[in-house]
Amino acid sequence: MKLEITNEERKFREYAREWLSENVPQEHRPPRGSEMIDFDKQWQRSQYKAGWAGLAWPKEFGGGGLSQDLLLIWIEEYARAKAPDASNSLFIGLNHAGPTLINCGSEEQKDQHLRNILSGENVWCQGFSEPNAGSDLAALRTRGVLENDHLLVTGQKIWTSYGQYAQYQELLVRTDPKAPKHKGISWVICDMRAPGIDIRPIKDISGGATFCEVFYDEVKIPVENIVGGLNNGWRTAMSTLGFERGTASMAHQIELSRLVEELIEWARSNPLPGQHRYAIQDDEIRRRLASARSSVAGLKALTMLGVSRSRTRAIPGAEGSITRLYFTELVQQIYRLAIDLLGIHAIQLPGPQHWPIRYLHELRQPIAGGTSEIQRNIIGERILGLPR
Amino acid sequence: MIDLLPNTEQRQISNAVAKALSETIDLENFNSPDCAPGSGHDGSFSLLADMGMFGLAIPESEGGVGCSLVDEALIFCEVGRSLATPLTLATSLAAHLLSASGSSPELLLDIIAGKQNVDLAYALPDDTYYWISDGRAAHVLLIHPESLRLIPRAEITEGEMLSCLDPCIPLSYASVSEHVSTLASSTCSIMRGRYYILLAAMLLGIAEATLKMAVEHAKTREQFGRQIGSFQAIKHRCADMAVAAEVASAHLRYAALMIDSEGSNFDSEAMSALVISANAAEQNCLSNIQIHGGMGFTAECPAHMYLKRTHLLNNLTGGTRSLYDRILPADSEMDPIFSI
Repeated sequence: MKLEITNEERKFREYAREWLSENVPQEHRPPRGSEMIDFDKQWQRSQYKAGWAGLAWPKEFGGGGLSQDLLLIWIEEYARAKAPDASNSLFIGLNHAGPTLINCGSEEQKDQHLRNILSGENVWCQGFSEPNAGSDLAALRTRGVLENDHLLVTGQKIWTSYGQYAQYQELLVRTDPKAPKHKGISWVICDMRAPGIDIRPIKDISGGATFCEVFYDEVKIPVENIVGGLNNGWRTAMSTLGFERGTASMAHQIELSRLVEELIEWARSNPLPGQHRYAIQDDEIRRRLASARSSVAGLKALTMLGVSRSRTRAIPGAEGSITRLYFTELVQQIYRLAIDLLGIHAIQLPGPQHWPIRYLHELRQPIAGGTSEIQRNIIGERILGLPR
Repeated sequence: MIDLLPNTEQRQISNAVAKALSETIDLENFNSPDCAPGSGHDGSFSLLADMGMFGLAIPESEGGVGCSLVDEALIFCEVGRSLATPLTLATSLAAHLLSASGSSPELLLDIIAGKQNVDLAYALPDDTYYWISDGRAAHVLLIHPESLRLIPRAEITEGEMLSCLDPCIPLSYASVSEHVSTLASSTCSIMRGRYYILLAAMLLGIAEATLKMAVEHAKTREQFGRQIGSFQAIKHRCADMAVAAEVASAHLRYAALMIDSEGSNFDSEAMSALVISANAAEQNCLSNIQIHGGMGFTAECPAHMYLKRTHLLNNLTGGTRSLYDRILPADSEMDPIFSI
């Protein structure tokens, strides 16, 4: 058990800090539309040209091949520099589709797609969940019928983030309806410009519409686009090791830390509505803020523990569910505190400091990417060994 | 680079201490006055002394082993887990006070050798104390909100004997004379940081022990034709316990490492570690009782022992309320440094 800062780490941090201070865009990211996508692509291109794209990807695929420790430093400096949120339209390509192709793709597939993902040339979206297949993803029904040299895809996907802007989609289809449900699925690359695709954005509770329903009416997908083998899609999807290995929670932790300090700063100089003393003097509010301060420190430690484990383990364990569950509950707690500070003023949108609209937006956290209920099942069964 | 995983040697020492403590302290027998855990007569003193634990983090030049705060914390996690007497903590802290002040080097050596142990007295506002004594100690560690002080036993006057919520704790009121001669004392935040970390470690041990106990029960107890752990309400409650213990464990190690490497700037980390461990221990103790159902409410089932010890330990720093007030004081002049 140790804490030491090597020379390499020190130099890397300086180098990262310097580059970020000179290159982080000063304008705000447009909240919607093609301008939003252009913003994301431009920022990615800028990082790609300077060698900062895909830092967690192996070097042979155009990435930085960085150790977890250096990656952590990049993420810290990135968050400190208030660089644009990495959970943007390019997230799926960089963190899901790309790594899946690296693990399971053919040489042609890798050649065709990896560089364009890294450079931000193409936006990727995810076609996994369906109205009848959320937590129970393996129950998916979108059908891929094999006909000579192509699959004919008919069905529907939902919660496809940035579907209306994407060039490509990682798509799971049922190619063998007779096989047991996990065994008849294929992972395919879907060109979103193919005929027969109907994309309908869904409005969410924070007023945005970045996720979509996608309907497929006999969409032709060439067999060359099957990744990892026909009917082997479930394994292919599970193989996405997520090269980030939990370091993403570092970015969340820094943002949350910053938000907590912002809340404290605000509480020191503003009263609660209807009161005449500073909010910080309200015991309940002050102690909730103190609790938030210490809880965010806990999240940082969890991230460090995850990084520590990843050094000795090739495949991340189920402990990622612990970090995910802890983070999603904490982020909601802190945004709830933010709107409690505002009281009646939280009834406006976007509201003071944008806290109200961000509170609405964060309501997705315990639901997206595996609900809290599923995370608890994973922890109970895979970590504690409780029976299914 | 930061590595929060214990190395081989650390694991070996933790395991050895854990094994020795579990063989010495028998929770099944805790109703007996002679070997009640926490009474000080539970054998843990001599055991820990023989293993060199009281001198573990004392510099070699003073007769110790020269290990880090992290190493000491790992040991106190086992002390907490086994429900060994909290007077072991008082004894270790007394050693640190003596080492820091440089007074009484012979007493320090005696403590390290296990020839002297130390009582604990928690200061109340009206100059009285709650005194926990095993009847053998020649010195008492006084715990005040802003300082730790070591005084001779002769300076403390026993008051009314009390019945402690934790039945293994011999508790009474006490008073200390105004012009008491102090052998060693400390008001510095590094010493307080050490105190918080070691207390957090004991509470972490309890959080982990109760998680393990609850999960084992959930796997063996059957109702409605299946193990109760297969029901989501139970499973999810266990999952929440696991999260609480994991965060507490990660943060304790992280905080101890930061204090070892950077010193006083990080007593904010020590405060967070204690709050996180205290909450984890309390939550897990309550869940453990609940998961045991009717059995959990009996005196025979050890679940209540952990809960009662948790309440005692949580109050030795003024409780989480007072910790929150240190983590975020109303007055910004007193704001501790929190690294983002």
